[in-house]
Amino acid sequence: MSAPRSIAGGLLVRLLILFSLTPLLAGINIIVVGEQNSNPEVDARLERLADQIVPYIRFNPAGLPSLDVQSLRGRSFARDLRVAMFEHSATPAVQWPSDLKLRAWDFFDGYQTVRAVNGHWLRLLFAPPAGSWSAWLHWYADELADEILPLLIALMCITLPLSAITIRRELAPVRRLAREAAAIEPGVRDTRLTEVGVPSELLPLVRAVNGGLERLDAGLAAQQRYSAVVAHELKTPLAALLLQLERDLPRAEADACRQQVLRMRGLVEQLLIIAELTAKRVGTAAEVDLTAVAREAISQEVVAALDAQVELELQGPQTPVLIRGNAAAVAIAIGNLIDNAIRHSPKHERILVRVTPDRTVEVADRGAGVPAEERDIIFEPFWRNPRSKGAGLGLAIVRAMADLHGATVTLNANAPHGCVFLLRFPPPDIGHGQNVPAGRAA
Amino acid sequence: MHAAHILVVEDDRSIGAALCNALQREGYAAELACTRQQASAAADRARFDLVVLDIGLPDGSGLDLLRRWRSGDRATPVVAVTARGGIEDRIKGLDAGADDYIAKPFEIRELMARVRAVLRRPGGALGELLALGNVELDTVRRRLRIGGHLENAPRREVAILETLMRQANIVVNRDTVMRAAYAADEHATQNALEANISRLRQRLMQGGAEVEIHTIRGVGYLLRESP
Repeated sequence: MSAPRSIAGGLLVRLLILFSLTPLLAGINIIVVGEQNSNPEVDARLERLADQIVPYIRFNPAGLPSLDVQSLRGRSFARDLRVAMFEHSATPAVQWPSDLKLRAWDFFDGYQTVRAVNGHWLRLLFAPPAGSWSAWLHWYADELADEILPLLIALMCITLPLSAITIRRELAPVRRLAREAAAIEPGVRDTRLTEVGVPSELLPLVRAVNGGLERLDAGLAAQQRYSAVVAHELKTPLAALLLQLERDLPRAEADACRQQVLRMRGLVEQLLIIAELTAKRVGTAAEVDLTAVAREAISQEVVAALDAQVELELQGPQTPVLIRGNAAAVAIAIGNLIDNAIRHSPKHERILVRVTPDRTVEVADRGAGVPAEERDIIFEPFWRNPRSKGAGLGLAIVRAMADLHGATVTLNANAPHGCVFLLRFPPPDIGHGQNVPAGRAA
Repeated sequence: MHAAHILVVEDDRSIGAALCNALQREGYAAELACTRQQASAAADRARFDLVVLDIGLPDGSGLDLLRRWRSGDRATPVVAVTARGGIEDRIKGLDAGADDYIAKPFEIRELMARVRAVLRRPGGALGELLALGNVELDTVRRRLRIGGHLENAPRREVAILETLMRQANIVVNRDTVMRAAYAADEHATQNALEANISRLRQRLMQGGAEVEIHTIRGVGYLLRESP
């Protein structure tokens, strides 16, 4: 099993990718915004202004520049002009007006251009007008609108879906665990939440739940062992009782006792079978021919049917109808359905057992039928029709067998009266061991 | 004809004694062994027609005993008895070589039916002269008697009746009856078999037989005494 993935780890990796992308995105953004900032009209006007101011620059014999302030004062273009000229250093060599103080945003919002004057290269910075805070605000708004907001929006456009996808992906195991937990049914053993692929943050919780399920299973197993042991221990005294009854008591008295002991024997046998089926102590991997199993089940019930003066008939295809399962368990279940039909069938009527190629076994009788509101409850252990003599475990065994085989058992009405029990088995290769709720599809 | 000799292997003395009593009442000679060791010794000393063998013995599983007998040349028929009676225990017993299997608790008449069916097999102690109700069939001389009167029945009907009588009260598969009635190279149909059975049924009824052949459609036939 690979090491469990962590939600935090998953988020970290994805966010790391995101933040590595940010500088790249910012760079692209600056280039694009810079391109947009260059307004050709304004630039052209400032270039002309640069051409106008250049003739007023003088150089002394030492090569230091200065401005012809007297002449400039009279020019209209020089009013409100704020310009600084740099030659080699970061401090202006010349500035206009002479008391000009450059502020940080003047460098961002200003326009720069370069001119050659008398063989000297000068960089000219046209600063925005000195109207108190407006330039700064303008600069700030500009920066915000042009550079920060697009970056933020771009980041959000990427971050939000990425986070959503990441969270969805990282929490997928939680949804899967919820589905698994929802599928846990009472009495079904060996169900565990899958630990493979669970994030490390959730693993302790999943392990704790599985530990709890394990303890419940152990309790259930102990209970099933207990009922199996009790049923088994009852068998030997019952055997002795049955044999002694026949030897020691007068026939008429023995017969009444015999009926009671036989009833108890039936109950003990059914308890053992149901314990074995629900504990899944029977193998279900064998290839089983439903027609052959139905024939075997009918053979076992023929004497009871003859005694009850009820006719049994099997209809099935010539070719085998194959399922995967346990022949003995399926035979017991079909036998129970036939036994149930015999007990509810009027005399001289026929009980039809039909096997169809779609892996269905039908047991149809012509008795009084089962009211619609009782069609689910009859599969519950110890549910008894007040009019019937059974212990109420026969149909519960049918359902336990169906559950074990991933089969369904349903009950329909027979025409003109009576009922049809349908056992439907899954195809031999798939659907095995699933917990299909039985007897609820009607 | 000597009484069939039956060995009962059963560790619970009261059950063992009751079984022996019941078998003796039915006219068999019965002997009781309470441990695996006693059973082994008894089987070495005498020849039995049948063993009723409890699978759960205190000094070892009856299944092991059965396997050892079967790996030798002892062909004595065995009816296995077990208190386990789980879903798959029946198959285990039959796999080990038991001829039949019965789960505790059982009634004497249930065991008797199985004992009789095993003894009635060809070569069994009751395998030559079959009897059910007032019907007797001598399988060696191929003679059928109903209420003591000799019936002149055709070969095929006798063969069918023999198969059904050997497994009285048990459903005999249609194919098994078919194989008994017709030689392998004969072309037989379901209808032909039905016709034969219907004639045999007629013969039994006219002769006043106290047995009936029941048809279980799609499965096979069952012979039993009339109620």
